[in-house]
Amino acid sequence: MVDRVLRGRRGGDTGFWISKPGYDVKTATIMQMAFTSDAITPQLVAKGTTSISPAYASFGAGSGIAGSRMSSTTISYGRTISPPPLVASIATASSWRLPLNLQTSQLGYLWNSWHTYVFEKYWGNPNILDKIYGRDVQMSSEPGSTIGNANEVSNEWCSARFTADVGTTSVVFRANHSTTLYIKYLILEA
Amino acid sequence: MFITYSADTGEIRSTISGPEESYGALLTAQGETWLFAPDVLSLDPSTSYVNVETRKIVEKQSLPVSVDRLTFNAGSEGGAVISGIPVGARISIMCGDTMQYSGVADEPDMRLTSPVAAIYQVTIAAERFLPWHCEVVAE
Repeated sequence: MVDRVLRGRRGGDTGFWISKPGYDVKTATIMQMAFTSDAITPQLVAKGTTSISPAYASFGAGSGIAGSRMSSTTISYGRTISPPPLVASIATASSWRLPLNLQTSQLGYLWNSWHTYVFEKYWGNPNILDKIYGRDVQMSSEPGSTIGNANEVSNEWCSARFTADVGTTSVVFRANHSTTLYIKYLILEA
Repeated sequence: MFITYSADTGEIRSTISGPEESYGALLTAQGETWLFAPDVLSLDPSTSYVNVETRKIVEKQSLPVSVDRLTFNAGSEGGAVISGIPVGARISIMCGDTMQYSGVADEPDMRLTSPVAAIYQVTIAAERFLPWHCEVVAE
């Protein structure tokens, strides 16, 4: 029978340990422990919900189109945390549709690289000109190909619906979206 | 919980739980309008706003918008009439994945017509109200 519970000093450390069955708590490695107070417990920095209104920009004639520009919001930690904390976040919006063919700040990730904007490539029916990202977007002639312009849309196109840019004093959420976006976030310091 | 909101409309921008009360000084320095609600554990910004005069949290009400019919004949001049739209509200009309219209209401009534058969999703959003949605079919 080995000792499995220890409170007090273990080597040069003071704490509380429980080893897994069959392992002596005095000599067990971290992987042989069921519990150890050596483990760092993440501390809550902040949690909550933040909203981002869509940014509008003119799209030829008429009023602005929601989501045609990137918008962002910033949550400050209230102190400096270095290295930066862990940020977990989920976002919901009733519409993420992105207007295309605008040379504005778009959050587009295409074929292993970021693009500031995305073109709609007219393939098949050139009369389709909706300029809106969605099911009707025109694909390039080959899945994932980049013919002539690296920004054209392909089968492989995917959008970063939102990003969390984590710094040492704040986190900036950025997104393109057509309706108000709500982001639930959790910021933990390890 | 800290709550940041628009000083004009009361729309809630963010809820922040965790920081100490001194965090408010940072928000003030950042130009935020905020209140501290120590008894509020969770708050959904999509369904609440802050009354900017009383600084109380208020639940959003439904928009008093109505539509006179959910189906109409494509190609007809009648269409469907949406009434009670607050001036200044944001209107968006989608057909499938395509945005057909996005704009600001300048009058309370809007007539929706269609030259072809289609299904339209209409969304009207106004500050201090829950968004209003409906699906109108042109047959």
